[in-house]
Amino acid sequence: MFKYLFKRDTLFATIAVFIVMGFFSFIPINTHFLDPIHLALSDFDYNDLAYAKMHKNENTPTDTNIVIVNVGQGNRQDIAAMIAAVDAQRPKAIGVDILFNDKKDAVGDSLLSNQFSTNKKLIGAYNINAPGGRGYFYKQSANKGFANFVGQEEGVIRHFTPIEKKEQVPAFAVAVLKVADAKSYDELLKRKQTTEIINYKRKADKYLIIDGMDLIAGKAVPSVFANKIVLLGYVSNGVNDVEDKHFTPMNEKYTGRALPDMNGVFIHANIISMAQDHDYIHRMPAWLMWSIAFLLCWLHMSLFIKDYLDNHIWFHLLAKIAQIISAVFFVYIGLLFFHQFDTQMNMTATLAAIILAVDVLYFYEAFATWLHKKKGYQTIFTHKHD
Amino acid sequence: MISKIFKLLPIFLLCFSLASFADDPAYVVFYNSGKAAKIVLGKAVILKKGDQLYKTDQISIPDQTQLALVCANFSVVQLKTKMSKSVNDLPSCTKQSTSASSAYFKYIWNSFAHKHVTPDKDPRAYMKTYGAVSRGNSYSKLYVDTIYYNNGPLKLYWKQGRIAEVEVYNSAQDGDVIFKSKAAKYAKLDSIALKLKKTGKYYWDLKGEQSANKKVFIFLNAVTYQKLRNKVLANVISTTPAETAYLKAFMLEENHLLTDAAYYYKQATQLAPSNAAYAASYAKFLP
Repeated sequence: MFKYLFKRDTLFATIAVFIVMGFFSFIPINTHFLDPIHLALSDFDYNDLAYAKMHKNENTPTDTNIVIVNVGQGNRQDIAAMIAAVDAQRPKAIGVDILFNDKKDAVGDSLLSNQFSTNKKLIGAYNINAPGGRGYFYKQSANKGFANFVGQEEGVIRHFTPIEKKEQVPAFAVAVLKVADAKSYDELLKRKQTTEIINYKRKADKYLIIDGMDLIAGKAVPSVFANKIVLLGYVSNGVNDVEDKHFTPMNEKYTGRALPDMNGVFIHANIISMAQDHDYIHRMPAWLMWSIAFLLCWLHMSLFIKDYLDNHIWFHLLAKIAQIISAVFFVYIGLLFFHQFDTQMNMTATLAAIILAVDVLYFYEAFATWLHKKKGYQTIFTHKHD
Repeated sequence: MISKIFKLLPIFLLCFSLASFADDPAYVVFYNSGKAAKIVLGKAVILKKGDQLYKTDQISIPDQTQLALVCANFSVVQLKTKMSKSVNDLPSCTKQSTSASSAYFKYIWNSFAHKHVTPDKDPRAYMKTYGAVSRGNSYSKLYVDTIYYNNGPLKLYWKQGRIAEVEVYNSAQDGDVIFKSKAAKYAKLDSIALKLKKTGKYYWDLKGEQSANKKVFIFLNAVTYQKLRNKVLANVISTTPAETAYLKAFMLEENHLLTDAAYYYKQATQLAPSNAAYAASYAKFLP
């Protein structure tokens, strides 16, 4: 099967594949826009299949370290009362995942302003890219973090940036961690990742949710907040309530048009859970992925050359079948690593190399034959033409 | 015959090319509610639907007349204020290319030139989505969640010159619109109250906002309103006239009696014109 594996032509043809890939990457124009599959799947990641089809993290237990308080439609006085009720139980930190864009009623504003400026456990959220300012309590907040995620606008949220490099400011979840769990915070920063992949492990049903209005009405047991991380945010009433709701890889409909599936507060909770559980998603280094791509392309090239020379009539059919089987298999390998070992393998280079191999082989064969005729270059393709 | 056609062809071509230099009409009259007119040789010719207006034309619009013109790009320009001016000075309607081919090739060019940037290289460019609920998006310079009103002029100006219609409802949740104002840069509460006629509690929002909580407009009779107003003003301590006026205005604003708040803010700025704080507070009631 691999009788041509160690032939010079096999190695050179493989190198030619990567040279062609290099040329493509240097083309300074975007040629993807006419590709309907690329457009349709532009916000698709193969790893989403690990959640949608392979049930990744489905059996993760409830995170008892985090309690969510649903602020619902409460006004500022209500929110201030919720914060006071939670704070009385000595939680580790209180993250307020609400953007207070403007001045409102004087009493509510005054209460919140006082809480944000004096309570060191209170962390405010803001929109780092807000065109009209970062909110009414931005300046007086002692602790704050940006609530922005990294992803296409209103697309699937897979990444976040722990520290925004230009301003050196933390993300909301990171600011909460800094107050609640310094050890996990330090560990996150030591990773020095510009962007982290969010390891989604829990949907809304895996967190304890307390209704804020029940809390201030004395209907909730306040002791649940003691020594916990408490996040105040909006929890949707139902599937059609899409306020502060986003697409995540946990969405059962992983491509095409669907309803968003997770409120922002749960995405922040997942980030905090990930850091506290030390359950980060690891990325395989680029050099390793390129090495794997080269080795696999070399194996495929030897197989293709064998069919090309010894079984030419079936070459195209066999090559296409091999390409399809390889694509399915290597996507599976990538998903398996993501599912089992929380490791992201970028198989794009491998798949691209295998797909290009057949076309580059034609070009290489013609070039090698031409060299043979002109310069006497020794090649395995000569017998086909001599 | 064919040779004749070839001889005449240059003349046709010349005519067509000259025709292409002829000025296109800038607007076509779509609606004239009164006596809006075009001035021709010093005489006013009333405009009617379908009339063409060129850049060099002069038009006059009398008071309480609405003139709607259709631009070359099919958008509509509505003129309501009294004026007499050249068509060239009217609000411009940029002529956009309607060619399907040019639009397609523009898209192709933009797509080709679109640079691929990965989130790792520039995360900030991919940070437009935020995971937090927004509270307190105010579209007015004033705090308008609740307004007590009896009579008197009061305009609520929208931020950033926004033009919007006010929709008034009977109920806080759902329900049909019982009154809709005309699209404007402000809401004229005296006009709205006039249309509502009956005192009571109403709810309102700007068209298209779909706010979680509608704003409350409490239309009171004179006696109830005066009682409320006097109760608020009873807490005001008199100092200097300007300061007292400002304090009254502030207390009234905090208690949602905006008509009187505007009156006292104006009084405070008149009594102490150099006071920046007074001016800033009064400015919220102005365009």
